[in-house]
Amino acid sequence: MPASLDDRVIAAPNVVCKDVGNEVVLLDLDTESYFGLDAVGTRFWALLTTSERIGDAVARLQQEFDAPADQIVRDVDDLVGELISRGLLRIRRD
Amino acid sequence: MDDLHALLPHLADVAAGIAAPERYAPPPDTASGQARLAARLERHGLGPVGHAAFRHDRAMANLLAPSAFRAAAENLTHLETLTRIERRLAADRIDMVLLKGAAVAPDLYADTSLRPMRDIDLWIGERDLPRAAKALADEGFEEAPADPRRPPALQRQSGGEIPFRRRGGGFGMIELHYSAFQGWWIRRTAAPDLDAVRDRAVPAGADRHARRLSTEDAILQTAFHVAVNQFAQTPLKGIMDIAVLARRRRVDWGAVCHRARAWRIATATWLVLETADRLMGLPCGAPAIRSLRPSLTRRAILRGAVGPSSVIASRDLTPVPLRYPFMLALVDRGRDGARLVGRTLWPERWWIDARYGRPGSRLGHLRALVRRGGV
Repeated sequence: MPASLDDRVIAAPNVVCKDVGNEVVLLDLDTESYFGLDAVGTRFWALLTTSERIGDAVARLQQEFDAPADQIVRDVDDLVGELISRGLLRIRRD
Repeated sequence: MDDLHALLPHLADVAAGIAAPERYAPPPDTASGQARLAARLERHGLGPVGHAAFRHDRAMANLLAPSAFRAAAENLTHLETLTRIERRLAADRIDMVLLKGAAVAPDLYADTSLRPMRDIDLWIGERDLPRAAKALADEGFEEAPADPRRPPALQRQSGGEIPFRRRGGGFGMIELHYSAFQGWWIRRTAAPDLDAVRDRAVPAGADRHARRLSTEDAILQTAFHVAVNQFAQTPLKGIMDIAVLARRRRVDWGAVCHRARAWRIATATWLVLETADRLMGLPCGAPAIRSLRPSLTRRAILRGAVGPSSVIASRDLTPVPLRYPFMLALVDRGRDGARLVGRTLWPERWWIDARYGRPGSRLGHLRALVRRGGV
């Protein structure tokens, strides 16, 4: 994972979110590229960007989703990595 | 009934944010039928509203998700650009009236992403156009290359537009319009009261510098645009705009009829409103449609060219010779039709000079028409 479970992540300042039904599209205003999240990804995004730590978001997701705990960790790892590589998410370093 | 046709009234309800479950039309129950319907919706620019309508049907929602996401992202980009341009034009005290998608997507549709925007259309007063063009240049836009058949000098005379694109590439285009009603058809045959239209324009929202057309003028302008473009270029988007306007706002249909007749666009208005009513339903529009109805002969010619089935089938009149009698049949007054034909074949000298960018001859223009097979 490019970030640790103790890190906090935030949406990049150039990113705007738009609800599309129960999904979300993330638009990078600088590059004008966009990335769509399905309903599950939308929930991941919401928790990741509002939790104090990635680990807190993972814990919540493990309660909400009927999937093995380590699968949730892997899925969050993949999503965070993807979003950081696309410049949509940033690690907040206070 | 065709499955897209059956769905359109419900789509208009969804676009307007109205719950009317009795008008819901379920999608086909085969994968191929669903794929075909999704493709048709996308072709007509209705992918996003189709996605919203079928959000409880996983297969259809998945098929339409790409167009819904694309419209959401593109509209966000356009609206962010519009905010920036509006701020600049407000600072420069340049009046701007929003047309088409920029006017209806954020204000009228249940969600901005339901109405795909291709670009931003702004009606700027002719006196302010040079300053508006400079403002766009300062904001990173440059004038796009002109279509050789529509040179700038002719655009000004016909109430056309100047397209601007982002300098250095990038998404998004802005068109500065000389008029809300453009083209030679209206210039030769009709007389919209543009000063009154502009005076009636209202703020596009609280604390907004931009204005939008009044409801009745917006219906007339949209209907005119669909008709004069021979129902080409995704006409269902314009027809949907009218259907949503009729659902969301209180329409003074009497004013629509009065202005349509006074401006000599009654036939064009009738054709589009009747088609919209048959495809999607126009609340309270039936008396106006009956009132604007032209003669039986004219109705026969127009319905032979355009109707609900041809619109759904995306039948485009523009490349076929049928469009000439169609455009003539749209003209309210006989002598205006004669002028349209006469000036198309034998235009004014200034028109020829503006069209070809140099002093030319009428015979040369006729030869060019014959070579091109039309105007």
